[in-house]
Amino acid sequence: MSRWLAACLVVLIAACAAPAPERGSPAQTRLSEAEARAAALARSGDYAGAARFYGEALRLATSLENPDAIAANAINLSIVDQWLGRDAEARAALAAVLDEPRAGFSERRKTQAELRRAILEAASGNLGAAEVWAGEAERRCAPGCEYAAAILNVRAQLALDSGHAAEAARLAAAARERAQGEAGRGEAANALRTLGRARSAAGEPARALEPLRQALEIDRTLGDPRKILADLTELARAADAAGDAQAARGYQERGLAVRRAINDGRGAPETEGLLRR
Amino acid sequence: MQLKKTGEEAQAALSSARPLLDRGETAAREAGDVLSAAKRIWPLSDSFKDAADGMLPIDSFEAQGKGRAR
Repeated sequence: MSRWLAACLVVLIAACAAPAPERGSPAQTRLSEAEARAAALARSGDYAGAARFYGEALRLATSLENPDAIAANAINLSIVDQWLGRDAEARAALAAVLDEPRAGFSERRKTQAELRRAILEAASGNLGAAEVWAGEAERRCAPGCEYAAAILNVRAQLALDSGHAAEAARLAAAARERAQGEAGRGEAANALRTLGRARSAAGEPARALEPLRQALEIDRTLGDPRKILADLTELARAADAAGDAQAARGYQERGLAVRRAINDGRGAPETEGLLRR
Repeated sequence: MQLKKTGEEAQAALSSARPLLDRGETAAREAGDVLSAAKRIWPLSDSFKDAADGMLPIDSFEAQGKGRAR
């Protein structure tokens, strides 16, 4: 009994000694509100609205000299700007991290910003610049880094786009190895899709089918129509090149059904957002 | 006798049609699954969740060319 009493006293004293939670300043409160509104708008598919609030959050974070909030909002802003097709603005947002080496950003935030810049450059067709930024991110990504699979996947796509199918297949297989667990399922599917595309490009369409089927299986569970459509398109190409016209037709018809389902949703803000991504 | 013969012929016809029906059912089921997966994206809020630190997903799929990724 006395032991229980002592334990209770210890807990009580500890609770009294703990500092009261700090109330945020008005600017800190506005920062939290802007971040919350941006996230809600991004979830609802209003990317233009999300960009406005991520921009406001970035401004507030800069005024507070909060490096982690600056980096997080700059990276999120670059993502929604890219979804909106504003590549120049997406690059400019990342400059808040990449062009400020003395701002005290963590290695994780720097890796995220470099990876995002590599993704942006690759999407714009600037393969050389994308390779440079992917290399920067890879050098910073310590063993066990959570972005290792994504970086390898970007490098695999760059190799494929440069006509190096064998290197692309090697990098994609390495990405698949690194993409583990629930959080890694998206990058695992990306790796399998790129592996399939690399095998098709190398003149091995029959060997492309299995990784592409695996990618489709994962993407169906993730529920992303863009990726499902990409998988079905690649499967149709590979099956056709492998001489299985019936299977190719089946994949084409399924891809068409997905495309129609996406197009039928046109007009709804969330679907418009999806189509822009 | 005639009735028995007709019955046997009907049985044979059904047996030969069975694989075709099975394939059709499989294709229909798979197409239905794909559509179900596609429909799960709407509303979009179900499709991506913020990371614990409020970050949007950094997805290498976005590195693919505009014609493919958007």
